[in-house]
Amino acid sequence: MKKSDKVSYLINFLGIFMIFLLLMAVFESKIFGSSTQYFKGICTTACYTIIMVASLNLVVGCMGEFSLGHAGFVSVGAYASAIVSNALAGKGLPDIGLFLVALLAGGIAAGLAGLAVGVPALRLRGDYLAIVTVAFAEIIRVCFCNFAITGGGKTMSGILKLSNFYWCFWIMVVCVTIMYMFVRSRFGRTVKAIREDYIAAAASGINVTYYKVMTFVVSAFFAGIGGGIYAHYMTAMIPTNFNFMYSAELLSEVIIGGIGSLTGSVIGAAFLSSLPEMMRQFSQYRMLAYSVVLVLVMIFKPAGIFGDWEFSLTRLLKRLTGRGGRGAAQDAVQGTVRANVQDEAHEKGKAGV
Amino acid sequence: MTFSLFIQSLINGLNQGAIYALIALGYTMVYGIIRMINFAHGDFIMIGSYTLFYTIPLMINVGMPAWLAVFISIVVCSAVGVLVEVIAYKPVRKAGAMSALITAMAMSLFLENLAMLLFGAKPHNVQKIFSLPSVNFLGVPLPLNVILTIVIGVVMMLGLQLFIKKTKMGKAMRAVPQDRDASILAGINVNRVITYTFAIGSALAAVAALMYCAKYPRVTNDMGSMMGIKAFIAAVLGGIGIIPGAMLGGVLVGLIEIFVKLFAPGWYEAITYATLIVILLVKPSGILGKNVGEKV
Amino acid sequence: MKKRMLSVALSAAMVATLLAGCGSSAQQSAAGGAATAAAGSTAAETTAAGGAAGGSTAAPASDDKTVRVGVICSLTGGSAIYGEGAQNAITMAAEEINASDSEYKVEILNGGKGVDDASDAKQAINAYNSLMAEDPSAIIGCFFSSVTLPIAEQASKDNMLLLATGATNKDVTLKGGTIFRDCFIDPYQGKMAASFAKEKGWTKAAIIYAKDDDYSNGLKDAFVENAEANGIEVVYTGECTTKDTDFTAQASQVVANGADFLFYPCFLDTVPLLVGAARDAGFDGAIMGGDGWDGADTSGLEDSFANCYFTNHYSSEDTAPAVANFVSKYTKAYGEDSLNACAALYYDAIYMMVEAAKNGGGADTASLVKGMTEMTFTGVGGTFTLDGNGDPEKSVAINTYDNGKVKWLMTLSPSGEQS
Repeated sequence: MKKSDKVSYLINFLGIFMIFLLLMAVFESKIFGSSTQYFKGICTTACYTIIMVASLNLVVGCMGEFSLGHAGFVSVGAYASAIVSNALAGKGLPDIGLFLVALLAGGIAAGLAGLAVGVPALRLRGDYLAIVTVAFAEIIRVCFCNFAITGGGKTMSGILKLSNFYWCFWIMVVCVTIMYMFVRSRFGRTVKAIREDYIAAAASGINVTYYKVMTFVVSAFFAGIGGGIYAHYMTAMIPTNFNFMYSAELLSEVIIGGIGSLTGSVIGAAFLSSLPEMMRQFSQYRMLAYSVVLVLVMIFKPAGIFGDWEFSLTRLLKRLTGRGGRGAAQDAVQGTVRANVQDEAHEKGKAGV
Repeated sequence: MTFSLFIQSLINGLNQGAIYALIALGYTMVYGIIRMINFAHGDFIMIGSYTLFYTIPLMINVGMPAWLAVFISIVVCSAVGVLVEVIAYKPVRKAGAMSALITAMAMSLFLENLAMLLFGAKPHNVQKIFSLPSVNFLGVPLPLNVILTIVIGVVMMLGLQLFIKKTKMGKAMRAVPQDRDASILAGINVNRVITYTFAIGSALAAVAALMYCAKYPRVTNDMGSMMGIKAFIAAVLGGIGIIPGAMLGGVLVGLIEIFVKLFAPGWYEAITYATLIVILLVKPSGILGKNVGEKV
Repeated sequence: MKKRMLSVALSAAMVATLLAGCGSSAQQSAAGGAATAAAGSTAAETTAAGGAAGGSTAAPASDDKTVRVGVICSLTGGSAIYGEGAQNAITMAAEEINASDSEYKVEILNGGKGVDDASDAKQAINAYNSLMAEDPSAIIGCFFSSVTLPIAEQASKDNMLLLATGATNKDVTLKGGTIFRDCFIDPYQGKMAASFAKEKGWTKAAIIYAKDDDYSNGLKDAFVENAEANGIEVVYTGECTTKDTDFTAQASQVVANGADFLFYPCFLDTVPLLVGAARDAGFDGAIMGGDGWDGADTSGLEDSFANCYFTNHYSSEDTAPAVANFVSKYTKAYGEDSLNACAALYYDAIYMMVEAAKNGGGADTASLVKGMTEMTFTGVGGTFTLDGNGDPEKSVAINTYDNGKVKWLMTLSPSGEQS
């Protein structure tokens, strides 16, 4: 890794750390009084949604394929981690250790499911792939409805409540960072090359199937981790929670945020997962308003809010300190305005308020 | 399995399949022309069904047969379809398939919630539409409804096929997906073609709603979503964009579902989806689909 | 450039929404956070805000005689019919109580409106948290077990009184001492159905149940468990899903297996379809369901619904004053469309709160829990006592249909005695 990269990572990490401190200060000082729990809940929801959405973005953005069955992998992760944590509870592991082991188990199970689905499914492309992922997700759901270990169609309850906001925040940060590095890695660039022109990529000696399947597996792995947090936050779940509508919700969050932009996924997920909460005052018009917002964003910002633009604190600092060069002065001003707005949105988005 | 149970299930399967086929026709029509999965199609059927629910008593009051209400339903559905197209789909058409897909899903959510506010959340029963007798077929009562549904499906399919192949508008519809720019150059008004496509697709939804309500006489605001996915799967199974394929896929899905339900009702969805996966893996563009090699 | 501007504008709009959301909630919390002393003024504020909707639900008292109740129900989504009934019922109950000379009054938080859970567990837990921000004394809800279980877990942690209205999964009240319910538990209703079948002399039962739902699974399991003891042989068990519309295959199997009784423990939206399909397949035996059947539309299927039965908390034909009052008032104010078991349960729940306050001698959570524990209550659902877990032991009303109209048949007491 180049030195400038290291510095950049450090700066961005400090930025995230500041956000964390800010949120912690807000929650611990209880300036929101009895609403603290409400906001914390929304933020935790945002955290696991961010992981799920960012992981879906690997398939949609990086690989350029639809997946309408992401909830299937989420459910595999959720159930696997719940089973593991229930089995290991009381075996002397500290809570955080138990939580991480459970999440890892959930991620691995989902990754394996991703492998099993990806190998056959990724021979297809476009809409056909989309419909096959729906089919696989539905099959997974039906299986969970029929297996005794997952409650056999009944609600599986009594899962330990391990997901607290602070842990979830850092797990989210780690996951998103790994995904970011994945996209920027040699591997990620290869996958992008396949997205642009898979025939040319294959002709250059790239094993297209291998790269696609591996991306799918990585995506499923993180979806499983998201699912694990979900399970340990909700403490009870039923297979119908992970139906087609949930997959569709995740996909719309990816696209609203911006295809290929992890920043977009973070903001999109935080924004859309808290949108129904902001609409509470609309009462039964709530979901109507939600769908109108979706349509409006698509009409006015069809490539998603951020397109494929990524936020970087390093770049922002450079612009602020005027190192952007004379030619880009105008640009920098604009950029700063946007970045500032963006920065706020970023924080608020994470705060989910 | 006794012989009569087998025949009975065959009839049930054909009936359900014919309804899926009618719905799938609408999907395939829209997909064939603009390459867009119209997730709101199931909700057009919901709107058609609610129209039937409200207009059938009116029809009976003025002494006309109940099924004539379908014409009102066709008008309403076409209007809604065109409206949705103009307001929501047209602005995102250039933005690519993914934006279109999300817009379609959002519209589906919108229509469902709008219906809830307009018509209330209570599920309603639709009045009997056809009072056809049953005939005896190999010792099993065969309701003529089933025959009617299949006949309507086949007639619709043939009509659409003729329309697409023979009329000027139909030819334009086939030209647009092949090469949009070239069809503009050839003097085709692409926007008008797409609007017509939606009008026809939604009219098909109204007809499907009629047959659906004849078999399952109940309307709810979320009836469209699950049925829409099943019918879409039927369309893909047969080869999406191909009109006879929708018919074949629909009947196939209907038959598979009913026969699996006889023996393993808890797994019927899984097996239907598994069939789809297997068929797509063997024949990636559906049963009747042609494999088109990609140009390099 | 244009794109840039757009993205700036959009981001700004988003931040604005976020801030707006934040602002309004911060206000709420400030008001809610100012402890109980300010509770009165908060109440006044909320009332003013929700004045039009809340109507006379406005709690006049600003002392500790007001039970602050948060209500969660499903106002949107596929099960909105239940939320509609619940909303009407709580409004009605609160109006009645506050107009009466009852010692304790009720204030429904969120401006007299139920908070929507969209029958989705994710939203439900947020709904619960948003109510907690308003500093309630108790929370009522939800109607579905899968949605209630996550809330129950949290409520027992927060030591909040949760009165579940429709969550029939037996685990719900086991989550903690502050969780109660006013509906049957699954095993109970299934058992009652089995003993009713015995009463009627049916011996060959078929079951069709929704595989992906707690309620349906629970009733089926209990029925199967109790079948043998009641001399019933289960000849066919067929699964379906809660969203299914086609029951022809299962129905033909029911007929082929020679059943004389069909148990279908599912919710009201699919009931007419199942009954229609069973009759079309030539099944003329009895069809029976649970309280999920209440409110099912029978129009056009009057003949098919003959020889159908369902167990319920009450019968709309019952002449007991509580029931007659509820049914006539409800029908007058809101029509019959949303008059179902859910409405009755939410209605009772509000009254139970007041009763609990009386028993416990205060309107705060601790007194309410004290008052609710093992209390005996008389309401629309009859007279019942909450047992050690917080589950009611109720008598079951068995209803049948007469030309499409619900007709009371008999009431079975918990021990199985007829009355």
